[in-house]
Amino acid sequence: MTVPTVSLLSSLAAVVRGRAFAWLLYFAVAAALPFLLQAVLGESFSWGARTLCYVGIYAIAALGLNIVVGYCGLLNLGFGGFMLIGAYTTGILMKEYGFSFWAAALVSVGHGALWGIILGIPTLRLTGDYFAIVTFGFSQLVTMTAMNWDRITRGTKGYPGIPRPEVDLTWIPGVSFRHQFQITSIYEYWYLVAALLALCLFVADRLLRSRLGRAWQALREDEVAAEACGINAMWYKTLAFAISAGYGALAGSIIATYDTMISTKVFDFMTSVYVLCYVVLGGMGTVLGPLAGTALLVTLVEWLRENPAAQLARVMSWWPAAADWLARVPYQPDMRFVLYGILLILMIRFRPEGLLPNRARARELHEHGEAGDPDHESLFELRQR
Amino acid sequence: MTNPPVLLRLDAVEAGYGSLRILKGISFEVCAGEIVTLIGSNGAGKTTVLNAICGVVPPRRGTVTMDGHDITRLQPHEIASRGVVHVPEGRKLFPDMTVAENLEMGAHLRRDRAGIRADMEKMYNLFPILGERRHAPAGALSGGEQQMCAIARGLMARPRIMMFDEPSLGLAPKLVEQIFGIIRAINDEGTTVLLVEQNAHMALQLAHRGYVIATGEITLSGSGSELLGNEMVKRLYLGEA
Ligand SMILES: Nc1ncnc2c1ncn2[C@@H]1O[C@H](COP(=O)(O)OP(=O)(O)OP(=O)(O)O)[C@@H](O)[C@H]1O
Ligand SMILES: [Mg+2]
Repeated sequence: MTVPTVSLLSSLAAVVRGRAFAWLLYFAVAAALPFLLQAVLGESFSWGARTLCYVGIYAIAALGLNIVVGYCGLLNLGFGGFMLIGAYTTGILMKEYGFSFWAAALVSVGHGALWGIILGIPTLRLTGDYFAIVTFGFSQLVTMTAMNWDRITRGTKGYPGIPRPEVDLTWIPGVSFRHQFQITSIYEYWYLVAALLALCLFVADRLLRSRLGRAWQALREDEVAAEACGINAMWYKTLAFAISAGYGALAGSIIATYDTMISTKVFDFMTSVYVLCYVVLGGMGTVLGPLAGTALLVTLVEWLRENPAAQLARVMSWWPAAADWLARVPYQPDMRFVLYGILLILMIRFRPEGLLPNRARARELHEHGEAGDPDHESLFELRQR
Repeated sequence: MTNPPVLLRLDAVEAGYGSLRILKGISFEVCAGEIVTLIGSNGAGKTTVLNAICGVVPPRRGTVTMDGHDITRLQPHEIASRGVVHVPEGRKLFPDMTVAENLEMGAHLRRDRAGIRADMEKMYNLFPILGERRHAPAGALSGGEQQMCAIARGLMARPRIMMFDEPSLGLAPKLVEQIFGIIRAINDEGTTVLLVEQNAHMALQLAHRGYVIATGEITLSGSGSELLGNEMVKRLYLGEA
């Protein structure tokens, strides 16, 4: 090969490995996805688009939970509590006080983070299981408050009538069409979610590779040694908790406007468990892991609402006997959670590090600790460039 | 000859675990530029002394002063930020970080990037094996390599006083020689050293001064050579008849 070809190829490879290419890919895929879904799914497009939005929203939640669970190695069983706080904050501010979605979401993130700090300061000193139990207690407390504080939250009746987000482009010079509009179509919703998800991915990625991310990893691996290096464990953990809670509140805040109502049932204990599953199945401590885990599990659960055997039967129409047999397989929508459970058990047995694992995490779980990974650049060397 | 200033001083320090009272009023001092060793049999409380200094086992009574400032009630990270660095027993590396990342963690409190980079190169010169394995996870190193990595990580903080807890534990004699040589080199460059050792003979030869600790109390002190010649030390800690 000639020299220019080689240098062209190597610079191309650098672009592909770098973040720029990944972002380009993200935006291209995000822009094309609804159209692709429409082409592929045809009649069930609205199902597909709704699922897509849920994937995006819950991926934000999973990225947030991952900061505590994956980056810091702390088990949080009450993440749904922060989502609920975000949802009510946004709902109430938009409906009662006429806040725009953007202002309400911003306040919600701050409000969620504040509760993260309030919960974190007394509890982060606790170790392992006790910490997990307290976080569980916290989310129950939030749910109970929401269910019983009728005057503010309307309690178990649910909180309806939350307006849709408005987009105002008048501040951009030269924008001529649709200056100001309310997000209503499923396309617009997806683009809103995809944009917020991009922001969350960006922050999660920067955090992971920052000094802060390294300190979290050190705390996860050996807290005493980390403190001996001068790391203030309480401060760093509280910070992780606050950022994580802010992510959760943002996800809750989007869900509130997406559903235009809040039901306390949407954020019960199982929400915390599901989001935890997305993180664990996708791969703790990475950025793409929670995204992959959410995409897989949310799609699976939405798909399994309808009898999978019956769906298969429709495809198998060329073999009438089999199709007929499949169509008669009994099914209850709740049975999907059995399948869900089986999938998780298989994952934990065969791939405990998740679909897209963190290198260090994979080593922790498989213990083959093989040396000499030339791709592994240290943070310091990355900073030098 | 004027004495150098006292850098670290323990004054009647008591500490323990739960209801167990292990240290029963420990007092000693380490002067700037010295190598001081703490010897004693298993379970005497040597590790507990180091943990009490660095805040991992906060003292119940007594005071620890560093450079004239009371550090008794400070958090471990605050004590570390005052230049008290501990190379703990059993190495305590970050096993899934690479060697290079471990060294960077040692320099966590520093902001001088050029200095950090230079110090890392220095560590790789001091411990060539670490340079060779800089991209290997620390958990995959051999025991001796891990000990070197722990020492190098400690040095990356540019400590004022470096505390070693049994650096020779489980190492081949040749490696022990090397580690002791490095401790001397560190000291020659101006870092004060507090060394806890089972290998009393080598420790006393290296150290300027030493203290003997038994069941949580200092029973004897003196210069390295004085203690080497002491009958009781010979009998109890040097295994001589
Ligand atoms: N975490 C702990 N909890 C309870 N007791 C402890 C703990 N660590 C040490 N001890 C007890 O404190 C006493 C002193 O222990 P320490 O580790 O300080 O001894 P040491 O002099 O370092 O011994 P070695 O030479 O074996 O390392 C021992 O009797 C030990 O059993
Ligand atoms: Mg010990």
